Amino acid sequence: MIMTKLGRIRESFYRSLQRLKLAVRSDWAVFLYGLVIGFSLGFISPRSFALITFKNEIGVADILNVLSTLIVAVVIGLYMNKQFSDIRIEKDLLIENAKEVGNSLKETHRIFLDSYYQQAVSEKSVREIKNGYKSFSNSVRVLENSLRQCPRMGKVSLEEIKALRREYRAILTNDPFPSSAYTISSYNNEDKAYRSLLQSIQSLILEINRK
Amino acid sequence: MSKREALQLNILRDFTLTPGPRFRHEGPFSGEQFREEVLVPKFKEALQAKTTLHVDLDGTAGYGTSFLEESFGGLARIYSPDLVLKHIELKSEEDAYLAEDVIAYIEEANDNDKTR
Repeated sequence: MIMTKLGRIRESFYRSLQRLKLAVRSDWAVFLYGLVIGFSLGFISPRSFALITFKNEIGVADILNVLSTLIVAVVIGLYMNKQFSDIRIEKDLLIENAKEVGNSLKETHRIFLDSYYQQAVSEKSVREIKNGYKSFSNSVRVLENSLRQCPRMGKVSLEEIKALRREYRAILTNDPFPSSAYTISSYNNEDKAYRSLLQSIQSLILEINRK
Repeated sequence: MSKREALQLNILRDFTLTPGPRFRHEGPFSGEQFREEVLVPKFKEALQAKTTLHVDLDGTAGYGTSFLEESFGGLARIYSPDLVLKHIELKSEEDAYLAEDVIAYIEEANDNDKTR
């Protein structure tokens, strides 16, 4: 018997919680709930509490005061909401572009490794390396342009990635490329530059997200 | 710069679709060959005409650093980086940072001399 009653209470509590969750989805619902609860508390609370005395009168000035406060609160709320939303959109765009830089880099790294392990430079692998690098380099430019279009991200710097990008071009396409196969030294240099670039891209994504 | 019409150099049209290695002995269409047969004569012409040389880098199958360094860095080793930068303009829409990188090879030409 007691268990059944407890079950019903629990069920009713969960149902209320679900209803509340649905209501919270609407800002206006929250606002109205707040207003109703506030007025109710005002009417049922004692008229004086310690040194504070509540008067049961409302003047025109009070109503105007409440209305202007509400309008200011709503306007500020909407403005802030838009600001946060704009910043989130910019962050998402930049993070997506930064991820694209990372993906192009990984693809170029894979092409490099294929060519290195083949121990030969074919016409096909020369083109793949050049195109892979070009795609990576262009994705950095897209990210740079996107950063320029998002002035709120002003202090996010791409200089490290740009410097590493230039170094990476030299590692991939300087001597002995394209006349002979990559050497162990090329492999070590590429691996080091690749990891530095990945690290920088990761740091950039975290920096953008912290803004 | 002078108001005279700039000279045009299109690597695809005036040299090759497939730029190659640094030196002639390494393979066809090398940076050395491009510099000696195309770039230096055109650059001389631009200097004599007191105009700029517009180099269009687009349309080829891509460049190796070795090719670019040997041709443009090599040009700067002959004429000095300042003079080359004053009389040359580079264009590449296909590879976003290519022109910037070539300018860096020109500026750093004397540090990267492979023929020394």
